[in-house]
Formats: sequence, C-alpha cells, structure tokens
Amino acid sequence: MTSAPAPASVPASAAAPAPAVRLTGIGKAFGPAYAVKDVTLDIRQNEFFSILGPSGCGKTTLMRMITGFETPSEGTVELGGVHATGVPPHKRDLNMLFQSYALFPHLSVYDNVAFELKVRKHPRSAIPGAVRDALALVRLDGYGDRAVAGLSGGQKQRVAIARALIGRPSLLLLDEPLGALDQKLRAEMQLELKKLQREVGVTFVTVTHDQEEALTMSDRIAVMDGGRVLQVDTPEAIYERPATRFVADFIGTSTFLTGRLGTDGLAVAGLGTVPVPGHALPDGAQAHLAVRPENVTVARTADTLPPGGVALPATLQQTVYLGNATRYHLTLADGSELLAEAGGAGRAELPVGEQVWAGWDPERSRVLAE
Amino acid sequence: MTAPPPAGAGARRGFLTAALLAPAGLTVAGLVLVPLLLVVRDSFATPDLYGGTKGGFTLANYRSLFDPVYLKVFGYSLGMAALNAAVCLLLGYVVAYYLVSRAPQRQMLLLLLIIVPFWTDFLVRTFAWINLLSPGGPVNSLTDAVGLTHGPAQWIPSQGASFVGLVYAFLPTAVFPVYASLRGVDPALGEAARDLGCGWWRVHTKVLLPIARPGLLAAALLTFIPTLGVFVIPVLLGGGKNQLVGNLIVTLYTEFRNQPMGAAASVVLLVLMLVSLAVFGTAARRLRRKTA
Repeated sequence: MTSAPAPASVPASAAAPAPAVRLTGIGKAFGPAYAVKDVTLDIRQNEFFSILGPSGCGKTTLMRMITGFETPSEGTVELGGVHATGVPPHKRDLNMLFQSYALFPHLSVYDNVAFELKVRKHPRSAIPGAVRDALALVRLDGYGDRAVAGLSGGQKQRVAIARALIGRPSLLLLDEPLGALDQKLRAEMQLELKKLQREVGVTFVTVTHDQEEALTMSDRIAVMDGGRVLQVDTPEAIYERPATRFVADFIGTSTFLTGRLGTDGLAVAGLGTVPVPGHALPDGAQAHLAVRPENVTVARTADTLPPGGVALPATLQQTVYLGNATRYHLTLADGSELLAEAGGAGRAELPVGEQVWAGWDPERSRVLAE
Repeated sequence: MTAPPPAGAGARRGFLTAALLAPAGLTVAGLVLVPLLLVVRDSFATPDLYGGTKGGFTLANYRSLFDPVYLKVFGYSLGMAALNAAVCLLLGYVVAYYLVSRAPQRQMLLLLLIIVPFWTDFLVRTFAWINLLSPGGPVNSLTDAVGLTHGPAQWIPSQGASFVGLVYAFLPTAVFPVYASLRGVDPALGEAARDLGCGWWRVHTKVLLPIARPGLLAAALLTFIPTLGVFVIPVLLGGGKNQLVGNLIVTLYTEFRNQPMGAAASVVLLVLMLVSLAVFGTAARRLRRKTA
C-alpha cells in the first residue's frame, strides 16, 4: 500500500488573514445543465456579503456548496483558509439561517436554541447561560419555555438567528432572510441584521433576489446571473459603476442607448453622437450607454437644462406619480425609450404628448460592452 | 332537513336523530354486540359432549386456560405481536422516510406499489409467500445462485417463514401512519439538523423520529393488536406448530369441540386487546399534551 494522501488542509498564510470563504473555479452541474459555472470569489472575514440575483441564477446552489449540502462538480471551497470541498455540513464551522427558519416543531424555544450545544456535547452547565445570552441577543429574553408553533414570523426568525449563532460559527449564511416578513418588519430587520453582524463579529453571507435588501445591508455584493458572478463590489460601486448591462438593469433602473463608440462619443442611429464618460472600450466597438432615471433632467426647452451636458429632444409619453418622485416616460428621436425621475423641487408640470428636452451629465452615465 | 329547526323542536329533532341512527345502530347491535355477548355467555357455560354448551355458570373454562400449555400460547402471541410491531415499525420508518424523500410524483407511484398488495386478500398474499419460499422457488433459486444454499431448501413450514409472512402482512399498516406524519415535515429540518452538528444518525434520532412519534405510535397500535388475532399465517407458513391465540381459539372450537373454552380464550384475547388499546391511548394523549 502506498502512503495515504496528505491531509486535506491548506494552512493559512501568516501575513494576511485567510478569507472566510474562498471559491476557486467552482461549478455545479445538474445533468447536462450548469446551475453555477466557474465562480471564483473571496468573502472576507467579518464582512456582510450578499449574493444577489434573480431566481434561478444559481445563488442558492452557490450557497449550498458553501454549506456543504451540495458538492461542487468542479473547483474548490476553502473556509477560513482550510480546504473544505468534500467536508459534510455538520463538520463545517458555519451555520445557516433557513428561509423557512426550519425550527424544530417538537422542541421548545429553549431546546431549539440549545440544540447545537447539546449535539456538540458542550458542558451541560454552560448551556443555560449560553441560551439566555443568545435569546437576549435577539431580544427574546424569557421566551425559552414557549412552543415554537405559537410564535409570530418575526419571532421565529429571531429564534432561528439565536439558534444559528449560539455555537459562535465563523460564518453565517442567510437564505433570503427577510423574504417571509412583511414590508415594515423587513425594513426593521435589515437594520437589525446589520447591527447584529457588527455586534457578534461573524461573517454574514446572505442570498437574496431583493436588491434593496442587498444594497442596505451589505459591505459587498456579488451579482449573479445565469450561474455566473458578474460583478463583486461595494453597493455604491455596483450601483454607480455597474460592470455589465445586466447589472445596470437589475440593480436599480437604467435605460440604455445602443450604438457604436467613436472618438467624440456614442454614435446612435437616428439620434446623432452622444457624449460619453471615460471608458476602456476600443473605438468602433458596439456599446450601451446606461443612464439612471434620477440623473436625467427634463425641461421644456434646451436652454433650461443644466449647461455642459447631453441635451436631446424627446417626446413625453407619460408621467407617473410615485409619491416621493415623479417619473417621466420619454421617447427619443430614434424611437428608444428613456426614463427620467425628479423629486422635490425638481418636479415640473410638463405637457404629455409634446416635445420636451432631456439631458444629463455624461459623467453620470456609463459605457457598457455589448 | 336543510332549514334550521324552529325553536322548541328539540324533542322532535332528537327523535329524528334516533330514527336516522337506528338502521346502523341495529345492524351493529345485531351483528357485533349480540354475538359478542353470546361469546361472553358461552365462556361461562359447561361444555356438552357434542361441541355445544349445556349452559350454566362456571369459571372452570377460565381456570383451565391457566394451564401452562395455554399460557405459553398467550405469552408467545404477545411476544410475536411485539416483535412483529417492532420490525414493522423499523422497516415502516425506513420505507416512509424513503418515500417522503422522493419527488412527489414518484411518491404516488411507490405508494401505489404498497397499496395494491395491501388491498389484496390476506390469504392470497400468504399463498404467494408459500410459492416464493417453496423448495426451488424464486427465493431459493436466488440463494442457490449466490451460494447461500445448495439445492432445494425446506423453509416452509417454519417459525421464520411464519414471521416473514406476519411482517409482510402488516408492513403497509405501519408505513402509512409514519408516512403521513413525515410527509408534511419541512425538508429544511433535516438540513438544519445537519447544519447544527448532526450526522445522519442523529438527524433521525434527534429530529425526524421524534417528529414522527404520533405516526409511530399509531403504527405500533395497528400492527401489535391485529397480530394477536392472526391465525391463517401460522398455519400456512408455520405449519401450526407455534400457535398464536387466534390458532388456539380455532383449535378449541373445531378440534377439541370445546365451545366454552374457545369462548373463554376469545374473551381473554379481547381483554388483552382492550388493555393494549388503553395503553396506546394513554401514550398518545401524553404525547399530544407534550407537543401542544
């Protein structure tokens, strides 16, 4: 017999702390179709990280490969610098907050929260204090004796959080954590989760399709579509500097002008040349210019637009009152649609069906590859 | 009868209820209660020489049942019923867990495969096992092929064959209640248990088995009690050597032509069943209180 293979662990380098999660070239195929393809990603220690994408984009599969519920078809998973690709879920130093909360219906709140400590054979005497602390952390002091069935959705979630954090994992994965809560509770929990994460100093990784959730809570976001990660960056960078047309469209709202890049801007058929901000694409390339509605100003005449910017004639098709803002649906000379939004003092009564002018600062638009 | 009854019509309504219940009530009384009472009456009678009774009141029949020969049959029956229930519970849980972890459409198909033999007559299924286990039969061919046996094996009649027959007969009865109690369980519970440190064994012992407890209790009840009364299987597959209470009753009535003793054995069996029912009922009530 030859010697056994080397132990499956890669020691963390002494200099920089190992990332909480390192995915290298990871992919998962179900039959011939890939749910996740070639994802390479580092999640840092103690950050609030979101994996954001539409349903079916592979974000859940990606998360399940981190937890160990799915084994990757290719690539490797490292947790805290230690190789973890084939390690079963119960041997990983992480916990998960399930979308359905998955509280054990046959156990009381106390026994649910104490579950991991009992299973992992913590000293009996340490358990009651730990449970009390965990329940205090989620502001459910004194709920230990309650049955799980009698709790509200928000309370169930708090119990699930206490249960997941009691073992002090290095990493907490949250599957659509706010999906089942109503609008008001959701906004409250967004701030609370963020606060909790800072308090306990655990790396949080949430999976969500809700961009607002991701933008409010995260230190960094990975945007996924079609099984691939399209962009990983801070919420601000993702919103202000989207890397692809999908990201610009999925995060917030964008309208796009499509044409060929030249030295003086983007040549759009039927519209002329539109000035563009700095970009890395070669001249002559097909490209999209993404413009956010809140960056577009609408005015009756060209000279009332802010000077120095793009000015295009447009037909006002419709105005929609949104409460905190008014949205203008415009058609440009080439027939393409443009959205503009104004709030507060920027709102103007404009004649629907007539010609107006739309303008924006080129620096506030973005050139994206075809 | 769709309009609500006018006030003060309580008496008339009571009469109507009684009238509507009468056919069913009379049927049950005539076909269940009366024969049962006749059996109880016979159990206290003195036997005549021709298999009938001479009437009267005596406790001799019950006293005779305390003969070690008969006590052994009761003990053996209780043991067999407990063993059968235990094996059915274990296999039933495994099968039910397998079922609920399949895709919904596959579940329906697999359930059907359990239901069809379940609806087939008891006797037919037992004869099927005679064929399966006969010398040179399919099971024998298989064990020959893998080298476990050499040539025809004499498996019937035997206690083992009888037990296989019992388990086979009652397994569906155990699968259904356990399946019902596992079916509604959120699949995330098993994953949550693994996430919180359970290997596969403890996923079952700590989470799924406790959740399935009501179903397991029902399955135990539904396999244990009917096993006490079985008499066809031990005769056909066991050769009648190791008798269950059911066989004893048949023997007393038909071979010994001792109707009062047969009746007494029946009454004892009935009492055993009622006691078991009470035990299971208490356990179920305690379980409900605990989870409520």
